[in-house]
Parts: sequence; structure tokens; C-alpha cells
Amino acid sequence: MNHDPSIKVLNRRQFLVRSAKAGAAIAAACAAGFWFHDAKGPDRSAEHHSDIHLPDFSIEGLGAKMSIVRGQDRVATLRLAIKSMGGIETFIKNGDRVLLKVNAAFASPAMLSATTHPAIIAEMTALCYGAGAASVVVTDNPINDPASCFNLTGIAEAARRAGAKVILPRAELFKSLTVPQAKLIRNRPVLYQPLVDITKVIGMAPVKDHHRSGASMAMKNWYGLLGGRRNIFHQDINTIIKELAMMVNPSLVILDGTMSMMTNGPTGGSLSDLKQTNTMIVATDQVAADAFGATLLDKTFNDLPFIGMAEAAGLGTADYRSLDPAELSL
Amino acid sequence: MIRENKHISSRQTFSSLAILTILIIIGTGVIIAQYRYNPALLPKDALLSTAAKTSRSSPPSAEKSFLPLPQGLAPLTVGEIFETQNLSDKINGKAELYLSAGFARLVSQRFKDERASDLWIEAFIYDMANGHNAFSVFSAQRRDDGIPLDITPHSYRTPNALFFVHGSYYVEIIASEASERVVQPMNLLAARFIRNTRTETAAINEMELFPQQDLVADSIGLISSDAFGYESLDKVYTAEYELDGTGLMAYFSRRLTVDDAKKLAGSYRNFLVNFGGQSIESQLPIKNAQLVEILDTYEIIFCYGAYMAGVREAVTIDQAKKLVIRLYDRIKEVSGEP
Repeated sequence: MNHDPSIKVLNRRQFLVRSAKAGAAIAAACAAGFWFHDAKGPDRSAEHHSDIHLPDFSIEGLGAKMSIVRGQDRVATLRLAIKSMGGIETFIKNGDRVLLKVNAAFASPAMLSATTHPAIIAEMTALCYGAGAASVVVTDNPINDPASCFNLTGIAEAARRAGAKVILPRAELFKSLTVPQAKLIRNRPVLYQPLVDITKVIGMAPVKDHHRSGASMAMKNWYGLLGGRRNIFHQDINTIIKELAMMVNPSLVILDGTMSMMTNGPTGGSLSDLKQTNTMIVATDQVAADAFGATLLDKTFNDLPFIGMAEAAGLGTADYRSLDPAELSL
Repeated sequence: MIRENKHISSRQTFSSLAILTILIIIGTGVIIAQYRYNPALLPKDALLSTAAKTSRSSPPSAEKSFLPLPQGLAPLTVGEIFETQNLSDKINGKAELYLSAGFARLVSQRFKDERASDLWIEAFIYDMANGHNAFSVFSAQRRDDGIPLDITPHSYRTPNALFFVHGSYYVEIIASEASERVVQPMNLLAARFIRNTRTETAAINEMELFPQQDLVADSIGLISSDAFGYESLDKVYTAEYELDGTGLMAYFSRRLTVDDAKKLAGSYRNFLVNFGGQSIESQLPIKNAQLVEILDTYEIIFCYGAYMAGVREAVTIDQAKKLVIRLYDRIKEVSGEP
């Protein structure tokens, strides 16, 4: 056999040492793999993954207030309701940055009352600026074709004419958010960015029948802040509405019951679905607002489980009379 | 004997180090990415609706739904298609109504009236897979003040909209205002759709099973699921009656077998009793019929062949008996069941 001098012959000891090193390297790789392996999978709990939350937008020291004004002219009833609660200055201070969360869910004409009426958006914007607000933004996440929804409802034009900035949802405006104690809103994409640096949040919703929840009013209106595949929440509609109310503690809610959608909600589609109920509800307690709104739909809060659930969660009172609401007529 | 090659060039050494460096970088990246992974964070595209994608994907356009458009109407927006998984992006909470009734697809599009720039019309064409499903969603949403039309057997209009069933399609044509000027374009759009869409006429033969006497006009409906709050009760035809100035309802559902009908009748009776109803012993005109009082009204449940049927919401037992006999006789006469 020829012996090539460039080939070094390993002796038994060297072979064993090298084998041991290779074995140790393999064992280390396996140990590292085992160490990194997470048998439980990612932890979905809020505390570990989302440090983003919405601040409390309620007005300190104001307590629960409510006003119910009856009349056909929604702008006039809104004005009177705000006035009866101490005027807009009670809610908006000089320099406030205000967000109006409207319902622009459908690209349907304002007359069908499936969306927040543009006239009260314009009026509320004007009132806020009149009280010294530094900025007013109007937003919602209508899911389907936001531009058409804001334009065809008349909301975009009304808001812009009054000087508000309209923010249409874009992917980069969403952040993952968890509501503490919530079962459903855990690491869910929420239309968060428009709320950054906002000091006052006002919810503005129409009173509507809803095929799944029985009604869509002030609390359900926050559904429009959710992103992603939110339709899965329809399977547990009462819980999600309660959790939406947990997510947003607003400065004020405005529930427009001038024309209530009595049937075929939440889309409606015909004037036949509407009833002139001639009522404007303004409240700092969104549970109370919804409890009264239910009466406009010929329902009680007992017919709408989410109201009782929200009350039980300490988010407000279903006994709106206990707030001694101002009740006025035009 | 094991031999070691002493000839390792600097090039080989450099290549080995480069490969190892790349592997270390990849490994580090994987570790960092794993720790940042959050399953609740959807890809950016998913944060917005799937409908946004829908609107960009090959639109059905006017051509597929209304070709050719009647004179004076032009597309305002591109058409959109919605299927079972994203119907709620378009109609939100009402999607369940359609999905539970066999929804297959929605095509929607907005049109503008070229003579009136501020007027627009949106058409919703729900493909419900068959005429019965289409009739179900039509009847579930029927407006009390709707004015019947003759464009199809099941059609009506309200001040701002047309609603009708054409074959397996349920169609809504909704205008942006309620005025005389919307009537013509809506009618033209409906006529054009009907003329250009070949489909079998939705004949709801089951309507014949309801007795005509005291029947409230246009009150016949079809409940696809969860009828009267009972989840096992589906495919139920209902009709409103007015007897002696008060209203009550007759209904029936054809099951697969006679036994199925009997079981359903029994379980429905139990359902009523479990929710506070009182089963009442009474001399009833139909063999094996059951009478239940619930919430100050009376219900009679019976079976005829594979039909499970009954009356409900009667304010007196006599009223319930009166209508149930008529319903029984009519089913016996028309159904052809032994």
C-alpha cells in the first residue's frame, strides 16, 4: 500500500477525541432545539403581548349625565341636549383634540338612517370648534369600500365643510390591542392611530334594529374601530358589544333617534324600515343611552342582553331614570 | 485506519467561515422572529377588509348583471362580488339572515342617472341557489307598506326601493332618494335584469297548502332556520290570518318521513312547555293534535303524513281550532299525501 505523506494517520485516541467533540456538538444542537421549543405555542394573553390600550376619555368629576330631547329637527335637538347638560364647554375645553366616532358602515344615503346623519356631524364639529377645540377628526372603519361609505352617506362632505379632518382606515393605522378582562378583544387589530393624542372621544350613532344583536346603538358603534376578520364576533355578539364598551370609555355619546330603524337592520334599505321617533339622546353613560334607545325600538333593556352585561361589568347603568335625565321637547 | 487530509486551502477556509456566518445570521433571525411572533397580528392586508380586495378583483361589472344598461343609467362604481366568507363585509349583521337561508353569492353595483347627477341607485343581486331560498329572504324582509308589483310573482316597491324574487335571485334596487324620478330608472333596471337573466321561475307551490279564507294578503313566508326560536324547526312556511278581528298564524313544514314529522311535533311541544307553556287536555278535532297555552295564547300542533303543522298566537282555543281544521283539510286535499 502506498503511503501519501500529505495524509496524516489518526491514532485511536485522536479518533475518540474527535468523535466525542462531534457528539457534544450534536447534543448541544439538540439541547438548543429543545430549549427553544415551545410546546404550548404562543401565549395569547393580553398582559404578555399588547401594551397598547385606549386611555379613559371620560371627563373627570363629571359623573353620569344624560339628556333626552324630543323634536323633529335633529340639529336643534342636539343643540338643546348639549345645552341642557351645561353646554358644550362642559365637555370640550380649549385646545382639546376631539375624535368623532361616527357610524359610516354602509354606502347608503343619509335618509335611510343606517349611518350617522351628516347634519349632526357638522353640528358637533362646529360646537367643538366653538368651544376652542384645536382639532376635530371623524373616523370609522366601514370594512367595505370606506371612501364610498364616507362619500355616499354625505359624512365626508359634511365633516370637511365644518372643518373636521376625515380619516379613512388604512392598514398602518391599526395596532394590536387587548382589553384587560376581555374574552374576545385580545390582541385584536384596532383603528388605533387616529386616537393617538386625542383628548376627547365622542360616539355618534343612529338607533337601529340589528339582525344579530337586536339593536345597534351607542355601544355597538365602537365595533367600527375593530379591524381584521371581525365578523367572527357576530357569533358572540352580546359579549363583543360589552367588551367594546369596556374598550372605549368616551367623553360623550350621541344617540340619534330622530328616525329609528325599526326593522331589517342594520342595513335597512327602505324608508319603510324607519319610524319617526323624534328623539335625541346625549349621555356620558353609554349603557344608559342604549337602555333608553331600546325603548325607541319598542324594546326594553331586557330584550337586549348586552345592556345588562355591560351594566354588570360596571360600565354604566341600565336604569337611565336614576340619572335623572333632562327631558325636553322642542 | 483513518486519514486526515492536510491540504486545506485558505479559499476553502474562507468559504467555510462565510457559510457558517450566514447560518448564524439566519439562526439569530429565526430566534428573534419567533420571540416577536404574535398570531393575533394579521398581515397588513388582512387588517383591512377582504372586500377591499374584492373591489379590485375582476368586477362583475354592469355587463354581467344588467347588460345592456337601460338608457340614462351608467355605472357609478365597479361591481363587487361577495361570497359566504365575506358577505358581512357588505351587509354586516344581516349576513346571518342570508347565510342561514342558503346564500351563494352577492353581486352589487351602483349606477347613476345621467339626467340627474345627484341621483344614484344601488342594485343588490343575491344568488340564493334556488327559488325557495330566495323567497325565504324576500319574505323575511317584506315591508308592510310595500306596494305589490307584477314584474315577478313575488315583488313590491316602497318609496325608494324595489324588492323582488327572480328565479333563484333575490334582488334589491335601492335609490338614493324617494321621489317620482327614481321610479322609472328603478323599474327599467329591474326589467332589464329580469329580461337578461335566464332562470327558472320560482314557483312556491307550498303556498297552495294554506287555506284562502281569512288569509292576510302577501303574508306567506318561509323561515329557513330557527323558526319560532326553536333551532330544530327549519323550512317552515307561515301565513297570517285574521279571524274575528284578531290575528293568528298557521304554519307547516314538510319533513323527510312521517316519523320525522311526528318527532319534530313532539319535540316542539316539549320546547314550548320548557319555556313556560302549559299542555292542555282538550277535545281536539284532529287525531294526536296537541294544544299548548303559552304567554296567554294558544298553539295547536299536529301531523299529517310527513307534514308537521299547526297554528299559533290564537287568543282563544276556539279560534285555534277553527283555523287548524281548515289547515288540516287543505293539506289533506292538496298535498296528495295518504
